[in-house]
Amino acid sequence: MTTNIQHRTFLIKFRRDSTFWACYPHPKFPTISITGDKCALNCKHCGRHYLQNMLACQTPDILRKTCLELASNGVHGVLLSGGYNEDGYVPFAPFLDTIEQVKNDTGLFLSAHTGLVPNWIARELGRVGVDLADFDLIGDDETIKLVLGIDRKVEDYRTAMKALKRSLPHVVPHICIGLHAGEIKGERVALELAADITPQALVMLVLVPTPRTEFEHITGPSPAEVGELIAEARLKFPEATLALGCMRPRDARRVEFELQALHAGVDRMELPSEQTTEAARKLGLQVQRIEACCSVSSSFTGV
Amino acid sequence: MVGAGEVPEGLYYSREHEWVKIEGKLARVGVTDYAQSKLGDVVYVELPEVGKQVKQAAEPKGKEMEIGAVESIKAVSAAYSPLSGTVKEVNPSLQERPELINTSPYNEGWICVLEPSALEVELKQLMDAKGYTDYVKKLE
Repeated sequence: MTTNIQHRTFLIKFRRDSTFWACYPHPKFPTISITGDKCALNCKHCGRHYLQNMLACQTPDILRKTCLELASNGVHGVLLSGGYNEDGYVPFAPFLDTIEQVKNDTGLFLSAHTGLVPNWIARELGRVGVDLADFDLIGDDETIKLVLGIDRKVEDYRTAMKALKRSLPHVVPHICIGLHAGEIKGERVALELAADITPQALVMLVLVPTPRTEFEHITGPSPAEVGELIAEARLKFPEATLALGCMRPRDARRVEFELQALHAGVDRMELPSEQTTEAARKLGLQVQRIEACCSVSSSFTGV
Repeated sequence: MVGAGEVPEGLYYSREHEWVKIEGKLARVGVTDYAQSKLGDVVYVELPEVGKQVKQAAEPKGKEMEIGAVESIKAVSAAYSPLSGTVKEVNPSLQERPELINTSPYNEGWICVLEPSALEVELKQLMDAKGYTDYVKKLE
């Protein structure tokens, strides 16, 4: 069901840009894990599970060879990711020279899923040519403790995000709705924090109760709650590219989540269902395809 | 996973990485262990409608050859029918537990049952376990 706020937010989107971008990262924009399936944390929503679906490149040499091969096979860009260290960030330090070499040799668009990187790593990521940081933004201290199990605070997220903003061309906050074991808790604070960097793009995710993780049996947020928060994001950032990302439940409520996001005014959606693209057309949007992650900058078309 | 993964004897295999198990006059269909390993965690399976007429997969591919789609976190792949015929039954468990494609590709993760319309002719287009294993080796 569409709410009044969604009528407003959809119009905001429609008047600014009547294109609905359907994003397909596979096979032109793969995700790489520089730690393989290793992670020093065991976050309750992931439990190292999602690392197993990434291309494992655990040494700089493997990373270099993999990226060269991907580029020669027509790949447009990669998401550099991996498990966190005990300080809550992906340990890029040993890979910096290689990343620079990959950028220079291939010209691939480089996104990095960073975590709470210290200032010097943020600076180095920018220096070696990383184009974009996908930044998981959490707006509640208790959620950080509950989910990641580390003694870091919301202020640490603000600091890391701003350090990335100073160093990289693009920083895209990712806010996971329902991350606090399914409850809505720090999401609105996270939206406030995101405003600190005036984001060009923002990705909204929805907690997935992933099998074989500690959150396997939790009940996540409802589609209506998700629609409301995305609408609030649209109101707060009318000019930003707003996306519904890949991490969202694709169970029986899948289409409901997607339609809520559509009506709330998202510009992009990763792997939308046919019902959703059809609904977008009926709303007067032109559906176009991007072969990349939904966070990539507007200047990167991927085609 | 190395190579083709599990490739049970007694099934037929397509170049699109679907398997077929002949059950009397019907044919049960799913995706292979190799295919599921390439897809990663399956999070959604779009099933065909019962009664849909499908054609055996060939080039160029068309919608009339699809028996649904299998979706992982960052990829969606069409599932192509290894035989022509009519969809008689779909696997309802995949709606609630799409991960069965990963955990049990040849058993609980089956996609649909077809009533083939040209079984004898079309089986010749498919591979046996050894043929499929060799086929996958060439892809690797």
